[in-house]
Amino acid sequence: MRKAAVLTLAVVLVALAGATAPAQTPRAGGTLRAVFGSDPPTLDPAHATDTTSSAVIRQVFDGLLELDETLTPVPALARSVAVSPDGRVYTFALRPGVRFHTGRELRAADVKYSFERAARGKRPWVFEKISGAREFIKGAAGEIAGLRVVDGLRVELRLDRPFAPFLHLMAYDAAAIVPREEVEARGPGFASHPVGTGAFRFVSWRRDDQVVLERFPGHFRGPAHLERIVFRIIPAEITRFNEYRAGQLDLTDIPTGQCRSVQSDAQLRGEAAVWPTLGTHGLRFNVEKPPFNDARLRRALAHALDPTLIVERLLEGCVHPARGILPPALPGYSPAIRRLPLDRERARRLLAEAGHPGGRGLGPIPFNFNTNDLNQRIAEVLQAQLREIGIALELRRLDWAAHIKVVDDGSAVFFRQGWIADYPDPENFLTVLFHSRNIGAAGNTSRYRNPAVDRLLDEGDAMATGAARFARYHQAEQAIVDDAAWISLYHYSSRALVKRHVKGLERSALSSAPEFLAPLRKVWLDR
Amino acid sequence: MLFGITLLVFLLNAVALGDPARAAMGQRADPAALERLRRDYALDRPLAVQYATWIGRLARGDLGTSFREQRPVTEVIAERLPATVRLALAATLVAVVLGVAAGTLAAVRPGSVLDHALMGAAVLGISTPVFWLGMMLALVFAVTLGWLPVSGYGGGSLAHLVLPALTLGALHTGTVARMTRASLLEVVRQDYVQTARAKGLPERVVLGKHALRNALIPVVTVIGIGLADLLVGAPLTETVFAWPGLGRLLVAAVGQRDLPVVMGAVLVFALVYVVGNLLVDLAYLLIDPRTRRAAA
Amino acid sequence: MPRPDALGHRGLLAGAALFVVFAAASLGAPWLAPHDPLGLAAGAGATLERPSAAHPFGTDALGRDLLSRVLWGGRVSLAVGIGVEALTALFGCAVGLVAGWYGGAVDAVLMRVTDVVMAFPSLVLAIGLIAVFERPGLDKVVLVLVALGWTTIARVVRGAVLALRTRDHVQAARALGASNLAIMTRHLLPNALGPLLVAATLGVGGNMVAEAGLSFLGLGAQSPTISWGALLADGQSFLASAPWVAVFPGAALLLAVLAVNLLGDGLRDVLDPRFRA
Repeated sequence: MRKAAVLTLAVVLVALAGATAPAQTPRAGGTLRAVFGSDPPTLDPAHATDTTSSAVIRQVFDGLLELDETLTPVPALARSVAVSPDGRVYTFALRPGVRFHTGRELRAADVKYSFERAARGKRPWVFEKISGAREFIKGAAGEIAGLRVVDGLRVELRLDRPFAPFLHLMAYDAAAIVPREEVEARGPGFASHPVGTGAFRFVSWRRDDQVVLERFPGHFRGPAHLERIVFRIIPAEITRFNEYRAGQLDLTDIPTGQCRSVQSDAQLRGEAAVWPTLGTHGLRFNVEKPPFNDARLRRALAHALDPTLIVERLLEGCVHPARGILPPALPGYSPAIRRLPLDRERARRLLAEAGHPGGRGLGPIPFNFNTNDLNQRIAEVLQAQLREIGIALELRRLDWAAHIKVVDDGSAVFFRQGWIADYPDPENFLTVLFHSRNIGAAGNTSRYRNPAVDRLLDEGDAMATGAARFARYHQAEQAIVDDAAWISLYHYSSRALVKRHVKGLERSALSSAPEFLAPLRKVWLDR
Repeated sequence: MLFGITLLVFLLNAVALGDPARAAMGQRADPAALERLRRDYALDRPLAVQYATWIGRLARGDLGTSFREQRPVTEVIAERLPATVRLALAATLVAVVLGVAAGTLAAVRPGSVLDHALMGAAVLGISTPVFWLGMMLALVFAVTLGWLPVSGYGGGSLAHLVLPALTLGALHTGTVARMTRASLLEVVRQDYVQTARAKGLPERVVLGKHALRNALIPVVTVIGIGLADLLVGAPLTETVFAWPGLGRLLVAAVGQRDLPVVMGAVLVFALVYVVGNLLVDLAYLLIDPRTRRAAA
Repeated sequence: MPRPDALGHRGLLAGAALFVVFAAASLGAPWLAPHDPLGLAAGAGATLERPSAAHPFGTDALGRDLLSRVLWGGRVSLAVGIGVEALTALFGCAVGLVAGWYGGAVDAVLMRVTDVVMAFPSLVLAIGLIAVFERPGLDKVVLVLVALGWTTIARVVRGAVLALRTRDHVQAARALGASNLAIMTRHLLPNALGPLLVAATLGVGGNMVAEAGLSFLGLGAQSPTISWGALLADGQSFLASAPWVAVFPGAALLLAVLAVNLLGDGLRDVLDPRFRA
């Protein structure tokens, strides 16, 4: 039994603020001209499922906690959080005097309302660890039993069992706090006109054109530096690049095929930045259905594929080659994981052992991917490489809605899947993607069922953060890689162009240009 | 006809792969949440009931609620209609002005170098893929020369309209130019034009006043069909120029299986088509009084 | 009928010549292509290579020889253009003949259906139809283009039939007790062939551009099948950094469409100067 650990994160925050004090004094004012590749589907934290929506939501709303640049949860609306010795009860003390954009003061009841509302939204998994949440989500209970308002400024969250990344969930934008009266007055219209406590308040949104935010002078941290933020919505990457070069955008992403040329361009060199993010691009099989219920066949493919061409040529070395499943930027990543190496001889032997020497009797194998230029090129590389061991791939390009359907229902036998962590913890990769409890749409689309892996993941999820916990995940990860239930191609990176006058923009491993999920209240313009 | 179109869209959507509720959930879908969403979208009801409900609402002028945006479809469409109409009209204007001018110039001296050059350019205009042309124009006039904005609606500024309108209009400029030229050459051979010439009227007056007026009839047809076409054929132009129009909405709605929006947008297109044809008929009457008898 | 305008003939000749060049190049692709169109880059730095003696059109993002890909792509693009038009003409002809000859209720119903398809945003139908199929590919593209394209031909043929049905020889055949089918195939169709051929020739170019457009939306031919549309769609990402990847297939498409359009225009002038599409 550990002794009572009361964590006061406020201390951590003060220390960090001191450490990252900018060399220059920030200047107030100006408009940041940012850009998205697609229209955000919603600006309501309960209904968002994508990073574009999150990028706006994080500016307009606050959560109890937020992540700092090292991806550590630090206090936001909560002043402090106390955790019970058994790791099951979290008590959050709210900052007094926080105001919504409407001027009303934040109360503990807003937390309960926001969480229960969001639990019946599109990301219920954020709240399902709280006692009684499953019953509430299914509609069998009128409230989340484990979510209690202690007094005007304190809430207590009780979990069924300890869950190590719980604080990360509380820093996630699905757990943003919304004002009940505004939500109820606006109804579904809240998604088009959000109101929160965030450093920026909503001004306007012309669909497929732009979202405009302005500084909220009454923010609990004091007014932000920027006067306004305009998020343009520009679907074509070449157009975003052209707008950036024409000086109409302050930041954007580096377009396909330009990663090297931009870094050697005299003008753009100092403005380009590439950093690792928390994502992995991989290939998956349906391990329940022939032919890939035979692990030898899956391993044969793993040994026949060489991601080097994809990493070095297609992506110009601007992404990280993968060993295992967890990306290097993720806390808990292990460099000791070994991938199944490129070895065409072994691939041919495995094919023969599985009863298909030279690929005989296999027929063209369908490979599913969702419509996207890069996915298309990668599929063509895979097609060419597998041809060398006698396997023909029949490429099946479907739009997202159709792709996700054939993947979810198990009719796709071999398909691509990218995964980007919602929060920086191995649980969000391995448990979601490979635990047998999550088979199907919940994340385990391989339909992978390995009791040993399940046990390791269950243990890891409940343990306190530390080397022993990570060791569980490493064991599970190596087992999955050896089973070839997933073949990693590479780890994602963010490729961005940021004008020199933009200061204080955090390059978070969670964000991928053109969306910057970093808090823009820290950004200022030097001109 | 409109009924047939809506039924067709509805059936098409019913057999299409993919579920609107699932598409709205992102990569990680919770079964309970999925079920609730399907209930919210009324997807758990039989197809016939879904369609009947839609038609019933339509009778009251209600196009339903967008799955994706959770707003009335009428609002979703109305918000984008101005941008779409501006672009379509501007592109038509480009096509008519450039096309009629080029066609007339070419017809003045058939077989001349000018004629060949103009008609060659017209065929090029027809043959050039829209997205290709758009990217080239943006590269030259916006990035390299910096004369015009690269993209965007710009709150409705005229400068923002120029490149998308030129891009979208190019295809129809070629068609209109060829139609004008052919039609003019035909008319010029007819008796009343020869009479006018014989009377010694200057060529400018003959062509401009007598011939062109009559030659415009087939041209108007092309424009009428073209207008409906422009409203539909715009998503590529809208994508290249980040123009917030109906074309992009429609492509996104199909991708999201946002059935109410797809149905609503298709209905609007069909209406425009019908109205466009009606306007063409009216234009005939205006240009050529003789068709009044033919029509009656 | 003689044609006073010289452009028609010259255009026809130029179009025909250009078309023959494209057709020959495409048919000869297996022998003309200097490299394997699917062969990935071997050496370092071989991707997105500028045009050179070894690779006259340069190489693409995977280091594949672009000249070889353009040559092979022509086979598919031309085949789609012509094949779709042949099917379109067949279907459109049938509808046009039946509607024009029988008239009355049959005509009314068929023309209503034609109206529905014409008033339908073709793009929606295209995307919608393709979303129905679990296995995308060129056959689906053909199906979609035919489903959308037959209306023009149907209208042209119907118009021609309406004009022909009162002619003496048609009336005579009818009086002699010829069957409907016989009248349609022996008397109506041959006489409607002029406008039909012209409309069909012009349609070929349209189909090729449409296939490119569908590829651009991610709905076209699927590797290892190569089409110009797919090449162009692939190349657009590199327009700024490696323009040749898009320029060569784009130019090929443009010239080929130009060729068939010139051909169609020329045919129109030669066959039937009164006909206007």
